[in-house]
Formats: sequence, structure tokens, C-alpha cells
Amino acid sequence: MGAVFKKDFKSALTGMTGIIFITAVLVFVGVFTAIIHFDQRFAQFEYALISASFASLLLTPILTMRSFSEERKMKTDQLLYSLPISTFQIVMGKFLAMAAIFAIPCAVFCLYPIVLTFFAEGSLNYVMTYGAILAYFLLGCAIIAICMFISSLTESQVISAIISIAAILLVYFLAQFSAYIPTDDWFSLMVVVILCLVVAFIVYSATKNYIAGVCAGAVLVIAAVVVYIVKPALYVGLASQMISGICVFLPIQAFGNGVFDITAYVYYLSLIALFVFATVQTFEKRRWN
Amino acid sequence: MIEVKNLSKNYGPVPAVKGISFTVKEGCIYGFLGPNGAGKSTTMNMLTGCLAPTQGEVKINGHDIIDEAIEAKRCIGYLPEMPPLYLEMTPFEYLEFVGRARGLKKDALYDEMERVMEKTKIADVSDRLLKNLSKGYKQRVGIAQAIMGNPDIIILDEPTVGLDPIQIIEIRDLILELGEEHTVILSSHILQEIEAVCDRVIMISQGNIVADDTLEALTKDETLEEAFVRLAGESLDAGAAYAMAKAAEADDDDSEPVSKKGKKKIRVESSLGAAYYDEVYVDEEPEAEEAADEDIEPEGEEYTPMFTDKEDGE
Repeated sequence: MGAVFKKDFKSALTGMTGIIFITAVLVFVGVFTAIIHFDQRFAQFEYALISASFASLLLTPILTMRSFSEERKMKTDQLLYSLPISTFQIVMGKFLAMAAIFAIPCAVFCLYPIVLTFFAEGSLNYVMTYGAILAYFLLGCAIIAICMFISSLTESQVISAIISIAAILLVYFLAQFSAYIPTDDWFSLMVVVILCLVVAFIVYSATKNYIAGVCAGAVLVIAAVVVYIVKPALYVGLASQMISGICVFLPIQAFGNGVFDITAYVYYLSLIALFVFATVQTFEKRRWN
Repeated sequence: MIEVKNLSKNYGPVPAVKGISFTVKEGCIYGFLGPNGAGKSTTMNMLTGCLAPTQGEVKINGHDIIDEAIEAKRCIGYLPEMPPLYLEMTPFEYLEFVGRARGLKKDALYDEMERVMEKTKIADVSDRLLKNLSKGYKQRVGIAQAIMGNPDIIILDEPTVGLDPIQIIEIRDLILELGEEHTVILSSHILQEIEAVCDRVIMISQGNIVADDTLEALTKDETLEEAFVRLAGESLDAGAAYAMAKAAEADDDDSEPVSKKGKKKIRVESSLGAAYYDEVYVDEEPEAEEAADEDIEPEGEEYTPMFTDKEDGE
């Protein structure tokens, strides 16, 4: 893991992608900090950080687009497969290298609250502020994990970057969209049934077995309908909750409202684990094709 | 050292390697010989864990390449057909990475790098970017990577492709030198190369092993070239004859009347791929061997003849 980490960390810094990403994050957060704090004289750095989270992290694909696509295109993945390191170590090495690059601007942000106390009015709640910086770091890592997974699906860096940016935009705007989604129970049931069918299709494409796919779909749909008949109240507002659930930019907002939200950390860590796992599976699956 | 049992690989419905078995013993240079598209690279990729077999098993020093992958891969150094180089790195950085991934640390790592660079004669370019190096040097760096950490077995997939004659001789000398300390498996379709460096030859054609013997035994009654053409040709004929018989059978099953005498177009599916053969003269009772001997011209796109550069399923 250490070897892959060192290689990727170094190549991100010498290959400029890391430098561009660090600069972009610093510039966006810097601009928001200047506007919010020097104009309105707030001491709470978390306001600027949360406001800048979307704009600064939209550029994450610059960092992640190469991670697996480039290996596949240059056929260097054959070297990784033949070295005595496990697929999990390779994926974790790559993920941690990108997380370490992202940690550089986050470390710089740790100085901002201290600087702000000299200029702004009002006292500073250090726990909240540093809690928000940690949440921002984990949010960035979750987005890195998602984009790394997308990079493992294609050998084209450009496609990887475009799909990643589309994914970030989608999860961001879905949050605003979720307010317009009907809260009726029947609508939620429909959404759940569609999701069940998607899962059934994934089961079919993974196993190439019609019976497995149909069985999985039937079991899930029947279960969803039974729950609907027994306890329809569970479905009220479920669709909009699910959609807000996939919006990664929402949980960090709690810190702006003065709530130290542990569940946000848990949410981001689960997302990271999920997408690292998915990347390991995709990278491993390519050996079996 | 290496035990291969009933190893198969299918790419979708197309079989690339069909249940081959062989054993590689210590201290020899093995030549892995076969026409293009025979399944050489697929087999090498399976030996090194880059590809998982559809069936069968590979054991390296007793460790299964899938179940005990890390232990098995520790014993192997592999140079794929295209050297897997990070072009934005220098050879020094690249070997440092490979050494670390092979578990070498600090002094041991740098001593090993020095040894390897000296052996492959790349010390004088160690601080230049890999993308600026010539093909010969890139190949050397690829070999240097394969011998990092002094693995017992070194597997080289067509190491001299695209090199000039002087570089080819240098690489061959290097392989001979490596053969003194390691077990080397070298894949190639260049017969002179195999003759120049190998002790034993494993010949593969159409995914099957057609010969596994010492070089002397193979070249006792005929030259290696004759043996190669004969064995690979027999295998090709057998495949084509089988496909012809199948195609004729399929035509017989057809309810449409088949012109028993005359010219027609048939689709032939064989392990080589599928092809349309035009204007084949079909007898009353099509004899498989005879049909194969007919002078037939391939027309379909999917046909991959021997001795071309198009790799089939690799």
C-alpha cells in the first residue's frame, strides 16, 4: 500500500494535477472567505467553508480522472496485477494518496480561523469550526472515492472527468429538487419498485443468469409491496428522503447551523467505504473478464 | 516450480487457451513458442496472475496464483508484451516503486536497485524521464523491473519485439545471463531467438500445447522451423477440418436443399474465429480432411490467419 501511495502522491505533485487541484480549492475557499468574513465581519469560518464546498469540490475530477483510467490505458495495470500486493492495497494506496493531496489545503484552512479572530467581530467556537473543517475534509474524501470509482470504469481520462463532474452536479442539484418531489406514499412505492428492478438488473448483469435476476427482482418487489400494505405510513415522504440521502453536500450544512453533527462523519465514512469497496470489485473483476 | 493443470481461458465464447498442462522445472530457460494469436500472452498473463483462468490452476512453488496470490507473485518477475512503464517517472523512481511494492526497504532497496541497473546497463540513464528513452532502454527498464527483488522465476513476453539487431543480441545475452541464476520463461515467435537461448521448448498453437520437449530432441530430425511449421500446421489443419465437418453437418441439418455439387458460401466457425468461405466445392459426402485440404480463400473479417500480426483474443 505504501509503495502505491508514495508513487501516486508524488506523481500528482510532479504531474501538476495535484498542484492545480490544491490551488483551485485554496482559491475558491479563499474567495468565499474574503467575501463573507472581510465584508460581513463574521468570525465563524465554517460559513465560508460550507458555502464554498460545492464550487471547490466540483474540480475533484482533475485529481481523480487519472487514477485508474491512465493505468488501464498505458497498460501499467498489468504491473500492478503482477506485483505481490492485493487489489485492496492498490485501491487504498491510490485513495489515500489523493486524500493526502486534499489534506494539504485542508491543513492550510486550519490556520484561517486563527487569522480571522484578529479581524472579525464576535467570538469563535473552535470546536464547531474545526469540526466543520474535518467534515469538509471527509466530504472531499467521499467525493474523491466516488470519482475514483468512476475512473475505474473507463480507460479514458476525459470520459472519467465528464461523468464525475456530471455526478457531482447531479447530487448537488438533487437536494434542491427533492423539495418538489411528491410525498405521497404511492409515489414512494413506485420509486422503491423501480429501484428494486434496477437491483434485479444489476444482479442479472453480474451473474448473467436470467433466473437469478428475475428471482431477486420478484423477492424485492413483493417485499416492498407487502411493507406498503402492512404499514403505508413508512412510505410517506420516503422518495424525497432517499433523494436527499444521496446528496453528499447536505450533511455538512448542519455545522453552519451550529449543530455538531456526528452522523455527518458517519455518513461520509460509509460513503468512502462503499466506493472504495466498489472500486476494488471493479479492478478485481477486470482480471476475470 | 510452476505447475499448470488443465488451464483454460475463454474470452466470451471464444476459447483462447484450451486446457493446457505443463510443468516448469528449476534452472532452465524455457522457450514458449507459437504463432501469433496462439494463446502465448494469455497463458503468460495467467501464470503471473494478471488474468484469472476460466478453468484449471497454476501453482508457483506450491502456491496457487489465485488463492495465495501474494506468496505466488513474490516468486515471479514479469515483463508483459508492452513494458508497463510510468512514462513521467525516471528509471530510478520507477524501480524504487517496484522495489517497495516487492517489500524491499531502505538499504536493501537501493542496493538491489544498483545491482539491477548494473545488470541491465541502465545506470547512465537512471535520471532521465522514461518517456524520453529509446525503445531499447525502455525494454531494459522493463526487464530491470522484472528482476527486482531477485525472484526465482522470470517471465518475459516477447522481450525483443521492435528492437534493432544489436539491441536484440544484447537482450539475448542478458537473458542467457539471467538463466544462470533464475528460471526463465521466454515467449516468442522468433525461432532463431528460441534456438539461441532456450534449453526447453513448449510449443503452443490454437490454445493447445503441441510440443513440450528439449531443444535437442525437437531439432534431432528436423530444424526447429520445420518442427514449428509441421506441429503448428497440424494443429491448424485439425482445427480447420473440425470446423469444416461441423459446418457441413450444420448444412445437412438445414431444411433448405443444399447443393451437393457446385459452389456455395458457408460460414465456418473454428477456434480461430469465424469466417465465410466462398465457393467451396462440396462433395456428396463431405470428408472432413479433404474439405480442409481444399484451396479455400477466407473472406470474412473475423478470420485470423496464422503468421499475421493480428492477435486473436489476446
